[in-house]
Amino acid sequence: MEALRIKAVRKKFGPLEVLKGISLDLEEGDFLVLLGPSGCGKSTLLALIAGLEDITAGEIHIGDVIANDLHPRDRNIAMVFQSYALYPSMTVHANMAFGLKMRGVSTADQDEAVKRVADMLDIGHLLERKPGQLSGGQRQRVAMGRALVRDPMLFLFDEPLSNLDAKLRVQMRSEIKKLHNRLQTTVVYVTHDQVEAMTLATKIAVMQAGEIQQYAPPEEIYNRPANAFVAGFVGSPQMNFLPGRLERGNGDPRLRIEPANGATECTIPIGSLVESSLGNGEEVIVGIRPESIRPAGSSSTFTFDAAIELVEMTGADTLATFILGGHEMMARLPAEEKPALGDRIGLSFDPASVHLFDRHTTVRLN
Amino acid sequence: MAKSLQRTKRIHDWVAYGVAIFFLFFGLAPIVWLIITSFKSEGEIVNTVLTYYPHNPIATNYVDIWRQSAFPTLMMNSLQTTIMTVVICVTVGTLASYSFSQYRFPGKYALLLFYLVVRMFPAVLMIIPLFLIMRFFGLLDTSLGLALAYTSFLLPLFIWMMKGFFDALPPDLEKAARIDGCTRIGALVRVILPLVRNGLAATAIFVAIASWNEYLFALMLTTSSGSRTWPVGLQLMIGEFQLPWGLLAAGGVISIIPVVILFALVQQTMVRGLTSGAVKG
Amino acid sequence: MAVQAEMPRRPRSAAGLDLLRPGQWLGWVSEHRYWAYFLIIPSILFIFAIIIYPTANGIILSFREMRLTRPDLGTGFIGLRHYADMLDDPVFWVALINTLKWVVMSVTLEFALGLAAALALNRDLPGIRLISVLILLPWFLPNVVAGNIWALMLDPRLGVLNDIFIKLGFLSEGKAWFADPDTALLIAVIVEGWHGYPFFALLFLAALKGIPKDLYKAAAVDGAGTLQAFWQITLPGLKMIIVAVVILRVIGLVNSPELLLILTGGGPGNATQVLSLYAFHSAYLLFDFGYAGALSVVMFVILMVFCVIYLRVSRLTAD
Repeated sequence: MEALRIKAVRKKFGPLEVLKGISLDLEEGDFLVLLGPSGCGKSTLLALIAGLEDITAGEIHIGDVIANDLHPRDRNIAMVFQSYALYPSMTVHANMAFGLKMRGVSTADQDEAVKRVADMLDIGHLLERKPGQLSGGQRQRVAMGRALVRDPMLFLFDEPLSNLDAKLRVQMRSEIKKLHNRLQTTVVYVTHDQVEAMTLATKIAVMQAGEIQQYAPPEEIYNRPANAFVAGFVGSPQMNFLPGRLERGNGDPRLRIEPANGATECTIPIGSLVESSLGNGEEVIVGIRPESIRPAGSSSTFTFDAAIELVEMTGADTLATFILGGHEMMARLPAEEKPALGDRIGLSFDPASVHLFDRHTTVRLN
Repeated sequence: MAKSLQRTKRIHDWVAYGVAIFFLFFGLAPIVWLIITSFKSEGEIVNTVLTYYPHNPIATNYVDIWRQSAFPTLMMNSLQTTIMTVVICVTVGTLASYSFSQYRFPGKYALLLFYLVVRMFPAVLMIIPLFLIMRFFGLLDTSLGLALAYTSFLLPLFIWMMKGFFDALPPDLEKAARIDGCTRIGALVRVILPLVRNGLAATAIFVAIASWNEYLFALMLTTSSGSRTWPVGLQLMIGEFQLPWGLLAAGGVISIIPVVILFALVQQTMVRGLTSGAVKG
Repeated sequence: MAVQAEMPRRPRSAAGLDLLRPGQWLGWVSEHRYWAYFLIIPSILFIFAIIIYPTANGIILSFREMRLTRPDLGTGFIGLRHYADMLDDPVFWVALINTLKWVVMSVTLEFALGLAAALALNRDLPGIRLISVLILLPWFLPNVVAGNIWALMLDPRLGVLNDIFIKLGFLSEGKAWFADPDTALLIAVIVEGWHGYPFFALLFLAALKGIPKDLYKAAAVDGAGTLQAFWQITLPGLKMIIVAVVILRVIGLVNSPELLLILTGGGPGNATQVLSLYAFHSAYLLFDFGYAGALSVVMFVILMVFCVIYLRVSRLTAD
């Protein structure tokens, strides 16, 4: 059954249209991440699902009810806020029980639910404290606990980890993942952090300028980005983009990289990578992920020499910036590769890992 | 089933507008009535049929109170006292509030609390000895004496409000200025004060309005027209000379004009200053 | 070298201090380790000279005879006689009760009006910002003008409010509100409410703006209605400011007789006589400085006791 159906939803703030027709369906038990840069409309979409803002046009179904005109309390949802929004005057216990109390659940049942969730989140010893006496990580857990004590159709998370330091963030991310695996709840989770999105989601909706750019499982988002925006937004370091032109002479089709800064031309044989419908001389954007680039070896299908401009060691691997055809590119090499500045080294990548996008529409071509 | 959040919000918005407009009317209607009365002739005011706007608007009340009473002298006296009060508060108070805001020293919090507590002392208890002291020093019935008396309740207020503005400055400015070669006083004059000038202006104006409006100290500590301030003078005219309402209204309007103008000039900063300390604490 | 010349240097001897160049010696003083104290010394001197010394003197005065109209009685110490007289003074007891009524009614009214105004003004609507500035205006008016505006509007013959009440049928003829012992204090409270509530509104509004909006969203998701959100979020969020603003206003109302002095002068009879006004009258009309001092001391002690209890109770309920 679908837990959430969004049909052609639009949202205007005055003359400004922040959501330009969003449609998506979400199965029960799915973990949907709304991913995008700030200002893309992802938080607005979440507020519409929660009923905190009203919809300009379109429909939102939660479970089997149309939620458009429902008050948030009648939508069968629970929400975790970026600021946590814990009630400062109440104890942790009262914070967690508040939603149950408002729904007329008996005190005994409230206590039982709070205790169960508190044990699950390991915050049982904090129940009598006020939010002001908690650390950032503890507050985050309480905010999650407040959502979990109820058994709603949908959990909404609005950038819940963005106020934590890097270490805690990774830890909480894993805990959320474990919780979801265990409870199989349906989640809509907003973030601008692509690592969070990739690790947590069963479905990702990448958003930009009020539109969904791609709605797919994480592997597909990464392996087959629908357009150049998605390709550039997901993946770190960012995908390398080169302007190119498709050449169908005699033999295999090739990509001719348009040189910049007076560099020499270079061509890449791409075999059966593209549909035959693409014509000769088609202008494309060539995308190559830094992790697709390897040191040249025996099994390499396409090799080239590159001048090293910058070497950054991350410990786990070596990020090398080099120039190809006058364009600056980055490769993610194994840590044992330690090229020196100014070296010319042999690099290679599998032409099958190349992403091609239309130069004008930026839509994926292969 | 409950209404959507937005519909509830819109209903609340309309209620809020209604309440806000009620308060606007409640607050301003008496002031508007004062202005209306000031433009009525005495005949129209004492007429058995009340008129809700001046049927024959006249400015003679303004001309008369200005020409035929001591009102201009009273206003000048008030101005003099106000300026002296502001000068004392600004010089003494700025230094103290800067110290309280920027430095840590033993006794700081006790002293700050003390400056708050002294405001609890009843004015009446202070006025009697002040009267005797001022008489001894020949300050009775002088603008300076009155200004000094005003300082007793305005200086602690000034220090607390001004401290709020100093607290809002980015940290380590003085240290940076000293490393650049300023002395501490140089840092204060050249770096800090220019940054708080809006706050200083708002706080000074707050003190100015309070001393312009003050009635009780002025009533006790001034005895002649040489230093009497306008609130005392106006009240005396009402009591002793049975001042006609029209003249009284005109006098009231004239004397609150400076207050309204000064407040309008700095209202944003003043509101910030008045609320920051209280909301934080 | 040029840079060094501007650096503060400790002069070799006192003679090296050029007192005619304040920039130089002030700079030197400001580098002294007691600089923080130097800055507050002038204010301490002022506070002592114009607050502490007169107040202490006033307290001493309350144990002495000092009647300007009766120089024959001298100015000797008479111990607690003024305080003993007070217990037998019916006006004192009336004034004490009236002070209580005056303060409780005024603070309640100002609190209610201030909270209602702040809640209405704490919404992001066009024109609201302007209104929230304009409603502050009464607070900036001097007591003399505020009092007389209302005296004018409530005048039995010429007052616009009486006229409106007659037209609405509430009254058959103009009423002298301040001449009736039953209404004088009540009407004075309304005038004080009009004059003083903007201060409450101002501070409540600032505190309301400090409550995170997310709390209300969370409460909506949790299922709380408007009233529940008010009790569970708004009031707790205002708690600190309520404690502070009430105590400030109580101190002001107890200590200052200004508005009642202008409106009623304590009358009719002693219907609006409060302690501060009675002390003022004893000093200014009867020239009995000793008794006036004793009245002020009693008022001050009552106020102190109230403040201590009040702060303790509000701290207890805060935890």
